[in-house]
Amino acid sequence: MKGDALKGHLDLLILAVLAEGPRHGYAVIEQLRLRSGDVFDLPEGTVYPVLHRLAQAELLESSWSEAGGRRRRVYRLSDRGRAALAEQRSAWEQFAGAVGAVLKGAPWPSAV
Amino acid sequence: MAQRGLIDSPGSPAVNSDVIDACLHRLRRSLQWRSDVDDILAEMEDHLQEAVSRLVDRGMDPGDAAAMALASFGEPDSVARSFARTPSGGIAVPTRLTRRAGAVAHAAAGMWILAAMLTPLATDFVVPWQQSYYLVWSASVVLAALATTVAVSGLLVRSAAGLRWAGPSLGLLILGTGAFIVGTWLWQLGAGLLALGALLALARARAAGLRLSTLDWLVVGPPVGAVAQIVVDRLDGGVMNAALAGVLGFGIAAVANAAALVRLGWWLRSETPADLDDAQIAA
Repeated sequence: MKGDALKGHLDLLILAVLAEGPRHGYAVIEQLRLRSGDVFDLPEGTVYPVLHRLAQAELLESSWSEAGGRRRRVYRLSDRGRAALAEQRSAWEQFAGAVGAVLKGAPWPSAV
Repeated sequence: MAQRGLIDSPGSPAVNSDVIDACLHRLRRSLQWRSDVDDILAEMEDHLQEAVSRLVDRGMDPGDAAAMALASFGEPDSVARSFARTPSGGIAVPTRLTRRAGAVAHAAAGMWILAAMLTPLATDFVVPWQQSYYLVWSASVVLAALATTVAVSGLLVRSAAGLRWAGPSLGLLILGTGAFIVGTWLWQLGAGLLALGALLALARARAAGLRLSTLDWLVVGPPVGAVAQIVVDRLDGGVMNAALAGVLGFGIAAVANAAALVRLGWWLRSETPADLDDAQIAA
C-alpha cells in the first residue's frame, strides 16, 4: 500500500508502534512493514517528517544515543501521545466496525 | 520478531558508499533552510547505513545493498518536500522571493517610523496646518502600507497559503492600503484593516507549523493607538489636545507596526532558501 492510501492513518500507526517501547526511525518503519505483512510499503524517508511533526506536537519525545559510531535518534511515546493513541484507536475501531458492518450488511456492533 | 533496530541494538558499522553520500548531499541542499538540518541528516544517515548493513548481512553485495536501500528510502527531493508539507498539502519553504519580502519588511518598518516622525507636520501640533505637509505625510503612510502589504504577502508565500487563506488576507491588506489612499486622516480604518490582514496571515503561518510571533505588534498596535488617541483627545478637547492625540495615537500604531515588521523582516531574511525549484515547490 503506497503512501497516499495511508494518509491520515500514519500518525495512529506510528503511535501504536511506539506504544510498545522506544524505537529509532528505522525500527519504527520496520515494525510498520512487519506488522502489516509488507502491506504498508511507503517510501521510508517520508516517515521521518511525520515523526518530527509528532515530536513537535509533543506526542513523542526523542533523545540521541550513539550506535555503530553514528548518532541515533530514539523516539518514545509521551503521556500526551499515549492519550492521543487511546483516543485515535477508539475512533478508528468505531469507524472500522461501522464500515465492516455496512460491507457485511449486518447492523454494527453485532457484526463485529 | 527481529530485535535489531530496537533502542538497545548496537548499530552496524558504516558502509562507505558514494551513492549514499550523494543522496545525503542532495538532502542537505534541499533541507538547508531547516535550522535542524544537521540532526535530520544524522538521522537519515543512520537509517541508510542500518538498511545497507542489514542487506549485506543477508549476503547482498554492498553496492547492490546501497542501491536497494536508497530505492526504499525514496527520492531525496520527495523526502525534503515531505518535511515542508503543510496539513493542507502545500510546500512551505523559504525562497529567494520570501527573502526579498524580508527586505521589503525592513523598508516598510523604516517608512512607518518616517510617517510617525512626519505626523506633527500633518497637524497643528508644531506648525500651522498646511496641505503640502499633510500630503507628504499621507504619501509616507500610503507607501508604508503598500510595503507592509508586500511584506505580509511574503509571509503568505512562506506559509504556502492557498487562495482560501491568501485571498482574504491580501484583500484586507489591499483594502487597508486603499483606505489610506482615500483618506489618511482616518488612519484607524486603514491600520485596522492591515491588522486584520496580518492576523489572518499570522494564523495561516501558525497553521503551517511556523513558529513566529513577529506580527503580534502589527495586530495590537493600531487598536492601542486608536484608544490612546480617543483617551488623550477627551482629556481636554482643545485643538492642541486633538493634535497631540493624533500624533500620539498614530505614533503608537506606527512604531508598533515598525517593530513587528523589523522582526518579520529579520525572520524572513535569516532563512536560507530551499534548493527546490518552483515546479517542485508547486508539486
